[in-house]
Amino acid sequence: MIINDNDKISSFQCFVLFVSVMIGIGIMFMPASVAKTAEQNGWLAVLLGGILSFAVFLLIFKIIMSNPDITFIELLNDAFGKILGIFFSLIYVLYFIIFSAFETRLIAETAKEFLFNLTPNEVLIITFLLTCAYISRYGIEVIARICEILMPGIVVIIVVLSFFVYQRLDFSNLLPILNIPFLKLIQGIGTTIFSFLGFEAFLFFMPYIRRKDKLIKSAFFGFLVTVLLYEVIIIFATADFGAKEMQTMIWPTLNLFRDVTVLEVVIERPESIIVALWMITTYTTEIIFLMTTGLILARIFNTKEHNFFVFSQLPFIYILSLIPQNISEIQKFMDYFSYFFATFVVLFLPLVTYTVLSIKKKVKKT
Amino acid sequence: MKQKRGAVLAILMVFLAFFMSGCWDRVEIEDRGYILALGVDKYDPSDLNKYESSEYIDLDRKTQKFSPEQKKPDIKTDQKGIDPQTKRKVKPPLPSSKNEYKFAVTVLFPNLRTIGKDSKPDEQMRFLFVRPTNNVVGVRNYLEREINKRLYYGYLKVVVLGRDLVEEPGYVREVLDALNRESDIPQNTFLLVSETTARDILNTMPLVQPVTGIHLFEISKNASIYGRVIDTPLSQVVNSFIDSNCAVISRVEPGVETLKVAGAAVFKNFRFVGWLDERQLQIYKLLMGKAKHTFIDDLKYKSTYVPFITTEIQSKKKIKSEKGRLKIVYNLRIEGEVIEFVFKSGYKVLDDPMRKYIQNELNKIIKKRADDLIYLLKYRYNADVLGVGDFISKKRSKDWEKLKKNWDDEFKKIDIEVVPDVKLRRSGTIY
Repeated sequence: MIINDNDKISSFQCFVLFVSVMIGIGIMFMPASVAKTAEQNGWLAVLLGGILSFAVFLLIFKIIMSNPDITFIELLNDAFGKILGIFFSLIYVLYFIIFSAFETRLIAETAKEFLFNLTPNEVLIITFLLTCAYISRYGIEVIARICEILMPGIVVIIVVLSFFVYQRLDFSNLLPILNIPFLKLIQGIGTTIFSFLGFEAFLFFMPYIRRKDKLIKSAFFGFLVTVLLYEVIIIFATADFGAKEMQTMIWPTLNLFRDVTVLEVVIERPESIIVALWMITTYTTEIIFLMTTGLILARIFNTKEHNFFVFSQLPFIYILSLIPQNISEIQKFMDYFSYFFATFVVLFLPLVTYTVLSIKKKVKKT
Repeated sequence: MKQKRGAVLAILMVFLAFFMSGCWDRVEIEDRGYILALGVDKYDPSDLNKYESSEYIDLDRKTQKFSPEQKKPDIKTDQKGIDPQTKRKVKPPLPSSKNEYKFAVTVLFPNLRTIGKDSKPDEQMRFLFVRPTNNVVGVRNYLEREINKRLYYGYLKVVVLGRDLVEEPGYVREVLDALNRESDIPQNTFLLVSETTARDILNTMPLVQPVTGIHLFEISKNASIYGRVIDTPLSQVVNSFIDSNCAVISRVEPGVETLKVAGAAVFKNFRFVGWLDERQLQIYKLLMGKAKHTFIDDLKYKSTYVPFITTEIQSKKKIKSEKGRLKIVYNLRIEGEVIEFVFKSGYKVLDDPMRKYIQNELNKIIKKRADDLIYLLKYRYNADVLGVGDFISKKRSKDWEKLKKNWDDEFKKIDIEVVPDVKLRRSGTIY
């Protein structure tokens, strides 16, 4: 597959892609699930979770930089041979499809609860998926530009709304610091993982990046913005509700911004704005996932374009997204997903590949 | 070729029609009934009968501006609420041992037509419905049979709880859960406890603002400035129930032409345990650091009362341990002004003998009142509405682990000391 020069992304676009792909639907309920284990120290768990994710990314980066001009698919083929390589590549396809299904179902659930009470879930899911697929057919550069337009707006609106939340906060709810068992904090870090996942898409973007030496810098700032945004939300939510009340909530982030009243008349009940905003953040995550799956499949079948594969995965995402019965089951599945599947796909498989590759090279040298 | 294009276009149109009609669950603004106030009472059959009497209907006509020709149909129903003549169900069935309702919910929403240009002058401002029901928020679904509006909780301003209801902890918990769970209800809805029934409160038409919900909401909103009223939004009440099983909810009294928000109800374990009157509430707000303009008027100087208004308040809590016992010290820094004294009295309010006297006396008054309040909360109500337990758990989490097992007893043992420090800063425009 030939990659022409106008399908390459700059380092700023890399940064934007990092933020867009990581900030997804997870943030909607992340404060509640963190509070269940880490209680009022949730902000610490998020910080550590962010650092941990960045460390994992550095590892991935080192692995893919062993041959920066090809994607991870070719690395898998080199390491395990053709058949096993394709098998492992298909695992990645499965991973991104399941991930997309989670995002889709959750955005439908949120929209149904707060915006479209009478619209069936199926219609919400289909419209969302078709809108995502429409843009995902285009190349990585187009998607990066879309994110470039959408991402700053989201960050700015959240920061502005936070100012209006600020006046009713009680920061003593963050006390006492670090009085919980260390094990619970570790568990708390585990629950934040899902909110940070998404950066592994960069395993497959390597050939499209113009300045590979600057990728670390972009990633650092991408993680920084994400962690800061998460910190603002989780600290504000803890200060507003207290850790105990937050555990009982399903959508703490939405509740946090829901009762913002700006000057009595200008904005009252901005929940529709918030839900719409989160549709956009999920949208940016979803389009990147759809495109990544398309790219992987295009590499496996060795085709020139990936746009056919984007549509072919939609039925699977649709069916998968309708499997969980309710929101608590989604969260249960998501925990299993991020603990086992994501650890395998994001950490374990790249590591094994790298080891195998380095052994093989050693064998070749001698 | 042309036919093919036409067919493709037609298919596309049909396809688009599916997805472009996304606004089908929209509701026009005049079709909505914006519920501004909810009143929740414990269902009392005899009380409901009172509202079916001719006396009540007359009062109803008078306050709601019904024209005299308009008469309510006088239908007598049997036990099941069925009219014997027409065999139709017209009223909710009268209670028997089998169907005892839990709540009597009052719903109030404004008449949006009165806002428009073509409103008639004698049109009533708001609508009030009382229905017996088993679920609080679910009353909307019963009312939809008889009201041609989509009832919407998004702009709910106040929820009034009846005096009978708050005696039952189980019912209070049901109400709280319903309010907290419904996603439409804003978290800054104010909760109020009625001195009588919630229905009486909402049935009153205050002179200044006839829509009772807005009236109560605006008074409660002013509470952050004035010292005699406390604002108790839903989120705060829920929070304090979660943290300490206790809460303070402000009180509302009915009148003929007005409603008064004054004092507060103290809850412990979801049960009403007693009232705080306005003076106790002032001190409570001072201790919580919430009051800004508290009006203290029981200081006498040379046979004249000297009213004092606080303008700046800082309340700082500290924990000390003395001889193995925890002691909580409230440091109150209060700044304020004297707004009235005797004309040409010869005394200068801002100068020393008088200023010092006022400050000292006010310190004594506040300390005395605070001690009384703390005694009341500790021994009479035994309700930790000051958030002492919460404070200890934040600052001394190790001590809290020991105390929390029987906090009700331990709370009585904890010393609470209030150290007021009043500073007189201003006296209006003359000395």
